[in-house]
Amino acid sequence: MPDLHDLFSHAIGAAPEFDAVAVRRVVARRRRRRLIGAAAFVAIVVATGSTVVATSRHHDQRVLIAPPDGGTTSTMPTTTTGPPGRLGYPTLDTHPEAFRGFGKLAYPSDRALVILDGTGAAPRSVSLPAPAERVRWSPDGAWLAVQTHSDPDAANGRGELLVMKADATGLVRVPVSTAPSDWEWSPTRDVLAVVDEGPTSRNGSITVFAAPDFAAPAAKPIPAEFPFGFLAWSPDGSQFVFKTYTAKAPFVDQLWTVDQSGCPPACGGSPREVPVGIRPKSQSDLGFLFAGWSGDGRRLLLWLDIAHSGSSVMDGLAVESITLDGTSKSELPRMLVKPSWTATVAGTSQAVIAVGGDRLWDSHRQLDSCDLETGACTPLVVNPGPTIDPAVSPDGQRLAYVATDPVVFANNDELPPKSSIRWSRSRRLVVASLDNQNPQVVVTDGVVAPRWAGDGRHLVFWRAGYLWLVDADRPEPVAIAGQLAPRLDDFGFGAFEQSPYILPGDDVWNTIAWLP
Amino acid sequence: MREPDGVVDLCSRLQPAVYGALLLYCGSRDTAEELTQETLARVWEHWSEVTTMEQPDQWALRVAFNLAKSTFRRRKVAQSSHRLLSDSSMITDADPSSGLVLRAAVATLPPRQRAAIVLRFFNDLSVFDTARALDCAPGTVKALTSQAIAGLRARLGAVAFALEERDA
Repeated sequence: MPDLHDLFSHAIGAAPEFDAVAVRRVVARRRRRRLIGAAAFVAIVVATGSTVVATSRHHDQRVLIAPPDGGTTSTMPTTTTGPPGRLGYPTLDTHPEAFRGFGKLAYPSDRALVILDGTGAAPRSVSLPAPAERVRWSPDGAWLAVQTHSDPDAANGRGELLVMKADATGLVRVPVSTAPSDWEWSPTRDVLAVVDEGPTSRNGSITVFAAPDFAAPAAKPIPAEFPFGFLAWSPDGSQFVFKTYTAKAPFVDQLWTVDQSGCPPACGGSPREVPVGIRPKSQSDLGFLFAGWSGDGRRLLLWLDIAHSGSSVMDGLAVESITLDGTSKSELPRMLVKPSWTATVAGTSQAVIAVGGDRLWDSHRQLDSCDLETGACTPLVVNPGPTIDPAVSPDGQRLAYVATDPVVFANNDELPPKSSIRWSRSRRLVVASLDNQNPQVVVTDGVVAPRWAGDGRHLVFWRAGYLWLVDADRPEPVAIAGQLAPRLDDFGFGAFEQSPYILPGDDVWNTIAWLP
Repeated sequence: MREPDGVVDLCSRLQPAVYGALLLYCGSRDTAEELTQETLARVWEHWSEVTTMEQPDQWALRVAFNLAKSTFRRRKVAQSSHRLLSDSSMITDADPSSGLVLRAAVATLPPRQRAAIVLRFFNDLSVFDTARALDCAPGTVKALTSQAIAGLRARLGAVAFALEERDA
């Protein structure tokens, strides 16, 4: 019988030889960068009369600098405030009272969860057993679900799903056998569907929990063959869909639906396969990823996942719009795999989509108005610079988006490139009618991911480590929450919006829950 | 730039151990190569401290695992993690002698179990040294290793293996 060490060695095969030339080059480049960075840092501090408030080795990222008058500023710094490749956000006063009447907000901060209850009261900080990774309100705002970090340092090694009341009392650990792969609240009832891949990843299930008892399943778990892809409730809450993969070639993705129209009390049930009608043509491997629902809830949007290739995902995929009976489908243009870049119009089959592929941020992107039934798209906002982050107001009357300057990507050797920082700072919030008439710049200087409030007049967006609220008709943005945990790019050298790449999963709303 | 005496020799010696551990932990040759280079660059950059260490190999392994954890944390998006799991499950029906089976099985273990079993049975660290590398108690290492072995046996089925532990 072979020894485990021998099996490991055999499994690894031959290791590449140590490349001294490459490592020597890396070390020399870093040494040069540190010298230049230190000189630039000293020059900026001296030239501006600023005071170094704190340096943090947390993620080796943040250098906080106060302006000369010791006060605060409402904009991002006019230059990088540290060595090249590091961006310091100024610390700001926040005004949670301005958020009164705009719903409920929750976001993670280290090992705590910060909750704004919408009454204008000061934020409440709730300690968690491990850092929160994802937070979502139940549809009526009575409950809050939190997944802790799937992190080796987390309490149980893999993270867990917690549910608590809106006032942060009554915390319950949702009983699943491993850290849940995915989970979603029903959009209409306080019902939670949780994917449990099981201890061996071959005997998983989907379990439904219903308020007020999240410590016990509301029904017998729904067995499902895994590996698992995604889970998503339909907008009317009558069913949820999920995807599984076949475990061997030709790697066919399958879509399933489970009727939940009687839940509670009749939760769970048997999965029924949805005839997606997406089959490989010349390629042997073609799958799909969940992109969203149409605003009328009749069509499901799926990205065509060519060859299940991570590279293809990075450069964007075409979208297929299908009905759940498989009788109708249409194909939409290629876009990056970012669900937030499709803004549907409530109650209709219309959507505004940020189209355009390629992973670098200086690639052309524009907003198209698309009919999800026919697949017909017409250009709606075409600027010299990339136009992204569309959001349609709940009444379907107004469109918000982020316009940017056409800054050309330069100097791949510098992370993040200065050109990338310039592009990031050119992000500005524009509000117009749904057909882009009378566009107005509402906020400048680094706006990310605007979302509409329920009144169709105010927006919340991310800028420089804070959440801001702005009245589109009287644009005086107010910082309402922050600082949020640093969001780093994939290279670990700067903030995410400075990354040379636009990463599919990097959405600031992934970790923030807002129930307008 | 004048390179310090001995740094190339040490890095050359560390390369297979670090690369192998990272390949088992990450499941991807590209990622393992990238992180191995980064680990050895850190060794080079901290050479003055490394030369004073009693066990630079363990320090390098600790750096390697920390880099791997940071990388996965940064890259963690739901779809990609599902994809990783999916990919590793896909090859479990392959020829056991290819080594892919074992790597796929290791890849399905939780991260801490994966790190513990790789350090114990590939890098041949003792329980105590593994605990130092993972910054946890020796008892935790024993528990993680035991769970990992049980997990591997469940996943590998017919592929039996023996364990030659350096200590209990």
